[in-house]
Amino acid sequence: MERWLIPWLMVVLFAAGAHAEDRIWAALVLGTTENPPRPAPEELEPFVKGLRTVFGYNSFYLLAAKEKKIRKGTEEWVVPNKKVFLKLQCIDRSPGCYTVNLELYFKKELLVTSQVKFARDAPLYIRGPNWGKGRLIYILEVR
Amino acid sequence: MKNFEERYTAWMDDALDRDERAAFERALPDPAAAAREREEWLRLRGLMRQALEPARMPHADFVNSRIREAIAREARPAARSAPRLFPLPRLAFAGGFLVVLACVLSAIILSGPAPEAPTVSEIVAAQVRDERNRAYAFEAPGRAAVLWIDDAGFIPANERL
Repeated sequence: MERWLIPWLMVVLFAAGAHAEDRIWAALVLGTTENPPRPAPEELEPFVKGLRTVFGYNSFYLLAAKEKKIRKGTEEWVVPNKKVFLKLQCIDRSPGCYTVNLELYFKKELLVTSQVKFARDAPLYIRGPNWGKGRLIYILEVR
Repeated sequence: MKNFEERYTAWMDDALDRDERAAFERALPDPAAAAREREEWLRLRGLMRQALEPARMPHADFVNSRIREAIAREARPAARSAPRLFPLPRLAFAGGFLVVLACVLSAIILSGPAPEAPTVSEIVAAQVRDERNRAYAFEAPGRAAVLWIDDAGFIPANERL
């Protein structure tokens, strides 16, 4: 009887995998220019090249990071703090793509609204406010 | 009609009736030697019966029950391993498996080929609240998209987030 369990489990796992939910990873990063440059934390390594090219900083600090399930209709506040808030609402889902409405608030005032189609493993960088000698950057990525 | 050997053996075993016995003894060439031989045989037979009497086994019922249990135990796996082509539980299990497999495959086939999934994130729209501000969207290395806000604000260094 045990040998029948393996194909059963394969079918069940396959069916479950077909409907597996993706997750959205959100990070709040501080980019600065330092001499010598500081090595980026391990979680930021895949993004460092892009961040340097786009924003021109050579050092990046991970201030906060969070990963959450993304589903149609869900609304999330992403790594909120006292000054900057980012609200996400997933409005549509198609295979390998999530359409998300996002709102960026600075000091409780709405700064920008946007609609983004997220492809898997293709990040979105949002240029946030300056903080001291650096700049806050949001990174969002569907995984 | 019995031959001599048969009648002699019957006489030795004392199996002849009285008339046959008397007739046979009269016909013997040496009755005294035959009588000695007969006595010797009877004595020997008695000894043999005594010696060959089966000894009684101690705790015979217990031994008997253990033997029966062992036989039953050995007979069970033999019965289980008897070849059955399609036992009912296995058939039911295989049937259920095939039904689930058919459902999964049907769902995959009926859903058709998956549309091409995008490989790059795309900013569809961006709108700033303040008319004097600007927001731009462009692509970046690593299949990334960038939402660039010209004036995204300023937080003094001495303020905590």
